[in-house]
Amino acid sequence: MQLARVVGEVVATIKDANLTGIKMLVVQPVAVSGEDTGRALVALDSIGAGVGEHVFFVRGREAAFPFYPAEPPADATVIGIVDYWSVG
Amino acid sequence: MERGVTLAHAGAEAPVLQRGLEAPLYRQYGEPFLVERWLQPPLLAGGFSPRRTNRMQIAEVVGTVVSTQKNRKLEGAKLLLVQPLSLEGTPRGTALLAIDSVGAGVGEKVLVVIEGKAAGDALGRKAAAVDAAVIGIVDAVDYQDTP
Repeated sequence: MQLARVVGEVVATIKDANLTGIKMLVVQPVAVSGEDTGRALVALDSIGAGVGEHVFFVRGREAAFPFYPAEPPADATVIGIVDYWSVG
Repeated sequence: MERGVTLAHAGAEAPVLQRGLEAPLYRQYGEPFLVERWLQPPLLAGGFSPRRTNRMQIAEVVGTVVSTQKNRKLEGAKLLLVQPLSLEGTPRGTALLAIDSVGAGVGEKVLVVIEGKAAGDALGRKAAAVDAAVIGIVDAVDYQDTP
């Protein structure tokens, strides 16, 4: 999993049928320091996160699991909203 | 069985098999054991995401994450921020979030598995949306740099 900040939403009318009704978010991975790291990506939303919130997302095949029994073709899904994180 | 033989000889193609293909292949060939052979741990571990090659890594626990609203399969799980390390002990890459299954604490050197199936097993929940788990606390690493 990785920490990220939700920076936007994606709207797509024509998409895989299994993605119907699933919100898509643009997330920017963040480092422990809170700074952006790496490239932003699109992740499905399984938790109801909104722009500006810090979240964590799962990558890979497991990204489809929160939507079981549906199997959306996804490789990243937001699975939690971060209240806070502490370092050290 | 002719089909079975064909599948068994698909050595070069085998790594492209993904877990998602499992069921269709079962239906198609009706010989689960043959498909299963290609889906043994070594293939499962390195089979479907060639971009990420390092599946089990040494990392340092650098923090904890608190999240109230999360996937219900993660309820009760401890979330750790872990920073992968090189063999020399210097940070390598970006810190990631892993489920704790051994009771590790901040500052400890741990063993992290970065693969969904293994992480789910460590959590003890089937089909959990996790892709990384702390599965051990490292006492010492003994290695030789020269061949």
